[in-house]
Amino acid sequence: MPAARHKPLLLLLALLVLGGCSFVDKTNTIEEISPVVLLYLDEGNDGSVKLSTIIPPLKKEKKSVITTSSNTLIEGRYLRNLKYYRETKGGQIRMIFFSEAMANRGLTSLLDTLLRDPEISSRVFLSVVRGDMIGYLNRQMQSGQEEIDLYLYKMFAHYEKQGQLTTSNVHEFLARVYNPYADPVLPYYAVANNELRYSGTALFRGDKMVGKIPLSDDVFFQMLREKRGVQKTVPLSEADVVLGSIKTERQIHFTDSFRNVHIDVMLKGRVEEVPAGQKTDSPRELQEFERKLERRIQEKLEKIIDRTQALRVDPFGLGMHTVGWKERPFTREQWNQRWPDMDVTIHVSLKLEHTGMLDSHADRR
Amino acid sequence: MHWIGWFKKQDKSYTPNEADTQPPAGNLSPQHVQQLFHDIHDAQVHELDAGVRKVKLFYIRSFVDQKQVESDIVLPLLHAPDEQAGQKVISEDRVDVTTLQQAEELILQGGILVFDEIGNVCAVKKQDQLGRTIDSSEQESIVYGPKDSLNERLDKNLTLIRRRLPVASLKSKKWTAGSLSKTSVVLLYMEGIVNPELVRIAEMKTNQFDFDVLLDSSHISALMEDHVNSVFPQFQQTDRPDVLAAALASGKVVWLVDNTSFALVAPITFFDLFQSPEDYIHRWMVGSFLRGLRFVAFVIALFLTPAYVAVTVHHYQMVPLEMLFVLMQSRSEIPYPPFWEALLMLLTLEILKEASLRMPTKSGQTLGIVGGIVIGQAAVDAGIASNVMVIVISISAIASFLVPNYLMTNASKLLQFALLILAAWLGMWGIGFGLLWLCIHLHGLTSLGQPYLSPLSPFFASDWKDTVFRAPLSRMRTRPAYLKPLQRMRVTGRKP
Repeated sequence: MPAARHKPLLLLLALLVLGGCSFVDKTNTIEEISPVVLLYLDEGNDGSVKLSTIIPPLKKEKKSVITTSSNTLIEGRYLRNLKYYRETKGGQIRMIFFSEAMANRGLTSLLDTLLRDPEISSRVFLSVVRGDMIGYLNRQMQSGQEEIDLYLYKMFAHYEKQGQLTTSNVHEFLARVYNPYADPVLPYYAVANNELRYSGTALFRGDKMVGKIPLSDDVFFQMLREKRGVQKTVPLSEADVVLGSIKTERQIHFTDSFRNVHIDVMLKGRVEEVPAGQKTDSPRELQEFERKLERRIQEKLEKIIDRTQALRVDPFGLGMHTVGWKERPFTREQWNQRWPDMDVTIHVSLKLEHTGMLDSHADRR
Repeated sequence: MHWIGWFKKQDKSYTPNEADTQPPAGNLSPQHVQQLFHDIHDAQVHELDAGVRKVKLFYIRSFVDQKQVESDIVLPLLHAPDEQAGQKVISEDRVDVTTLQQAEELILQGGILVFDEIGNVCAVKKQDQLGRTIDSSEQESIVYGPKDSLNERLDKNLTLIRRRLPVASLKSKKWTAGSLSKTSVVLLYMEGIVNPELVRIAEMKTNQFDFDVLLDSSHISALMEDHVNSVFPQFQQTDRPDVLAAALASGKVVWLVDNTSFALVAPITFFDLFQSPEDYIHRWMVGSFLRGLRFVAFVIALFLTPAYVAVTVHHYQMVPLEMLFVLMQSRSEIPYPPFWEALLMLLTLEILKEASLRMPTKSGQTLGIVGGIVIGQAAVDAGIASNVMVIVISISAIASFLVPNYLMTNASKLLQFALLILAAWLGMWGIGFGLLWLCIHLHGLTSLGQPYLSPLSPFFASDWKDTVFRAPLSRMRTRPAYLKPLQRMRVTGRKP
């Protein structure tokens, strides 16, 4: 059988040819490399990028933050490799922090580089950070938090799973940058008093940061952002009330040939803290209490909408709801012009559960 | 152009040594028998003066019980007054002998050759009672279920099987194989169930043996294999009569070999190697789970170590961050790359395993301690091996023992080394290649001419009830379709 005789030869040939598909020329042996986990990108002088990372990552060794300054990311990586005895690799980048200045300048060119590298996952967490990030990392490592990169990653992964705070990754961010009917958002962190704190959501127009939702409004911002969500605590500090385990549902519909948008937010959950003297004993009292809270929440939501309209950004992706199966009433420019002037009607309905009343749902509504 | 000659096919034809196979020369006479057995220290010639006639007895002393000779042959002869003394040997084992060759065979099987002077020759065949009693199987031990197993005696083995299949359609055909060993080989099959084509191939293969010494059924299987250059066993070797009975009843062919406690079963499939008789003792769900576990364990045994090496050498990107942290920590102080680490650890493990098999049982404990503590703990402490590697190696080693077929266990070891080299060279690509090659190879294999990967390929839907999982016994109404049995249904359809 001639075919059988050539089989080993063919196999060898196939191995040799397809061997080119493997990155055999690069060494990835894990003790020889240093996979970077965290990047901090800051704006340097005259438009350069300052690229900082923790070296060595993922090892119980003495660590420090090293920074290189260059015009491009790749050049920065090259310079970084010259500074450190192990080759740094990008295949395990999990988090990228942008300084506020960098975010204001625009992120597309940076993210494009990351997206182009097949090693780098598109699920890299992105965030904007204000303050001295390098100082924070250094102080953490000096005070014994050696695996700060790992802890930060676990924190992000937890936030993403819980879905109560803003998280975003390269894929989500760029998908929204290129989406005509939505604008990207990133979590906004602040370094203060040697701690890195989630303090709201950064709003982007295109790839440039234009504003932010402060932490006090962030819970309400999340209610508008997702169709369905859960919030563990919703503090209404003006009313001295804290709601807990709130399930939120948002509905959007346009009326009046897209001049008006109705946003219905339905909340269902418990009240966890009430001010002293607040009576919720009878169905009527409870109903009054609910109406009061609904108004508070509505005010908050209106404020957020006003703010986004004033900034001319659409972080909720409302524009995507204008697109139907066949109709596409707005182009990117038309929607960008229409959204800031659109009439937004918000309707909040709150249902308190576990109030202790057997007939609590029977009489209401 | 002399070097071309190197590639040319060597002339491998040979002329069989005539002396090996030639029947002993001469006609049947006491002189010739004596000459045949010269220089055999316990060959005994006994001359009896039985009345008028003289009678000569030939036998080999170590075969024959001296007392039995006295009582069964000498006494009847002495008390026989008439001339035809040889005829007086009263025994059910009496055989008339006509040729010298026959005489040789009978004497060497423990017979006693009796010559009387008028030329009558007969032999009394005394069965030697050497052999073990029926023990339980050590190779395929099970917790519940029948415990008896085959031993080295062909007749007893046949009895064990016939007790389980007491029907006349269980046919047996006998051959003698091996020019020196004269090993008896018995082919068993169920007439009316087994496909006659299988029997034909089996008979053809059994006829073809040309070898001097065949000591074990594995020698015979090596001579019958369809594919010599494969690591996969193409005959199932088992010493469990219940397994054999089940195989016969499902339409397979069984070889019993004398002086071997292992019978051969064919045709088998890749999936048969993962079956244990215990599958049918458990509830069907538990049995299915355990069988599934064995397949998973096989995959682990084959791919865990190569995958670890591929990941640590090529694909650090694939590992979850927390895992990478552990890996980097454990790898950081090892003086050589993962491939060599894996290779050395695997070799050490194989050496340990082989040593524990060859060692007397009493020193086994020492080996366990040396193996477990020195190789495992001390190597990690000394920084020669990483602890993750030790875990990976030991998990895959334990997993490899879940495969009930011992031949398969060792075959998987060899494949593991091949995959390891591929993994270190090309990473996951290499493992993919290995897997592909493995699939191609398995697909091309046959056992007794039947496809090795059936019922997966060619596909037989009805056989899947007893492949990866096991259906309840009441649902297994049909025999395996890939065997093309003459009778498809296991059930008679008659109500009891």
